[in-house]
Amino acid sequence: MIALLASALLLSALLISIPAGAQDADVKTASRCVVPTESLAAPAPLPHVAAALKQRDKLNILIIGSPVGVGRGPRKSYPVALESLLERAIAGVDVVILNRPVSGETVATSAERMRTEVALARPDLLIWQVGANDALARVPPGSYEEDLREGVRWAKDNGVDVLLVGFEANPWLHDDQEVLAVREATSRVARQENVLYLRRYDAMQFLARTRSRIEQGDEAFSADIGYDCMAEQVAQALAANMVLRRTRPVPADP
Amino acid sequence: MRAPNAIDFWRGFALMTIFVNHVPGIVFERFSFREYSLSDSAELFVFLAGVSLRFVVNSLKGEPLSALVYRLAGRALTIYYAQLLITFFAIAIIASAATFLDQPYILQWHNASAVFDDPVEAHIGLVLLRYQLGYFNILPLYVVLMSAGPTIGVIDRLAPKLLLPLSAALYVYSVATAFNLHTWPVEGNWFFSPFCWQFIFILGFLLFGPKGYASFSPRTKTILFWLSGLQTLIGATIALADFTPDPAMLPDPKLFFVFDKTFDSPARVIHALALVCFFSGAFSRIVRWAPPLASYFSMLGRNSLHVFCAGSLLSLCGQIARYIFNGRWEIDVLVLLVGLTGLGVVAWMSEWRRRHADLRALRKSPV
Repeated sequence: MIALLASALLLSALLISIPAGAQDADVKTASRCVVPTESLAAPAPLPHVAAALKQRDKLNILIIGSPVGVGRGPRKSYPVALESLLERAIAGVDVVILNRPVSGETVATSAERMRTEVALARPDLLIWQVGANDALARVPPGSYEEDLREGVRWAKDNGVDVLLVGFEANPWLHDDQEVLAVREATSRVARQENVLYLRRYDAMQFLARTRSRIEQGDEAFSADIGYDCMAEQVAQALAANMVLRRTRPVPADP
Repeated sequence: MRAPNAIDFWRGFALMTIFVNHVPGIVFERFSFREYSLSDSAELFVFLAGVSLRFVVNSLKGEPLSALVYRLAGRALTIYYAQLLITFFAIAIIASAATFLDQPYILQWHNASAVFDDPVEAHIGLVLLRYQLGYFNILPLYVVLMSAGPTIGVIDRLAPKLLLPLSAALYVYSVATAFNLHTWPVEGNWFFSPFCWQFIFILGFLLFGPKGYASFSPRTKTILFWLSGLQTLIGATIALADFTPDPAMLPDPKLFFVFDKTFDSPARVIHALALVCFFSGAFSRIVRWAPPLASYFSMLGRNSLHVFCAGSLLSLCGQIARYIFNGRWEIDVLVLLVGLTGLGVVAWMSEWRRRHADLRALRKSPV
């Protein structure tokens, strides 16, 4: 437990203080991605992640939902970046990421696929990127919420911790009631099902407010920063959660 | 142009259904047959693609093997060009929507962001078919299947008995191991695993071959008809009850027992075959009772590649229209009407062009 806590603290420190020896691009990206944890995600238990780290020194993560685009920043792809960030921070732990997103997929279809992928891969943590396609396709928020809740419950019942990842925003986002309703539905499901929810919209709004144009060079705040920040923010949310939930219960052996 | 027939009709029907299914949220999707079935229009489309490969192979029966290979490879290349063309049109449509609506957020639609954020790698991925936009993932499967066309044609000519066991073995291995192709630069997997979907393609090819359905005895056909009717009913009941087997409760290898689309699980394949068998005779009744419908769908089916391309782009426009107008039902009606008309016009123009070219050739030919 102490080792885990120390690892989590190390990861937080790593994300906030820029690792020594990192590439310039990494430094630039990390420096512009840091967001206060309370703007990122509310704490929630990750009992299966904790058990995996304790028992196996191996963490299996499944990523599903909408794919994350490719940013202009570091050349590492999102899953590779996330894997290396987590491995660098949690020394001695082998992080295995199975990346299974499908473009254009709404929650209803990805929930169906998620069940199969979870049953095949048996991950400890499911990172489910949700909301963007449903908002764009005008899927009624009620049915979105129902499908999401059902999927989250199924994953939890089958021994998988869940991290919901919301969709990013930029100052030009078509922020109408539909989009807001989808975000609120995601937040509600996360709160009621007690799972982690990475509020990328809030995180990116924070960055948009706090970062000046000078810090970002000549470019205006754009969506690709969201992609570059994705791995850092997911890792930060996980690390912060491990620290905050240090008294969490460890599930019984299956 | 050939007269309306069952194959063209059902192909046209599959194309129309794909168009509706590719506008997620549209009010008419609840009338799509996937709501009442374990399989959907993708299986029907791929099965009928296998059937049409059989017709091409049959038409080249007397030709040397090299001509067969050349013709089938050419067909695969045409489909590949079509995929590239519609992908670039789709990118332009997404970019135009983002520009005119002043909403750069739309650039992220359907995985398109990599084109704008990382054009260097994205363009390599597009040409290699490793980077696919959402809902533009059937043609890459079709390209792979048709690329195997020359091999299929050669095996069919030299050792036809090998085709089914080879295809079945690849299918079983791929379903058992979740064998699929990866996407890049946006990491993920192909939505349709070509190694699994080749099975229903080959079944379409074989069932319309010399030892196929036509060679079955009337008694066998009657038994198959009633069995497929039963399967259609069971599948509809399962779909209407919204039942899907819980993968966690199933034995390994799980993909054999779930209703997975990416790996085209056996339940979907069996159900698709049952639908084909049960409804294959329905065309004669449709021709009798609704001749315009039979003509319209057959016309779409005769020009399937052009219609498919137009349908993919029209469905993307439909998605944008729904986005702009907040998914109102009036817009859904308009999207459907424009789609029905657009697909019909594209098919009609393709045939008009061909008729015109034939007439010109006739006039030029010496008497």
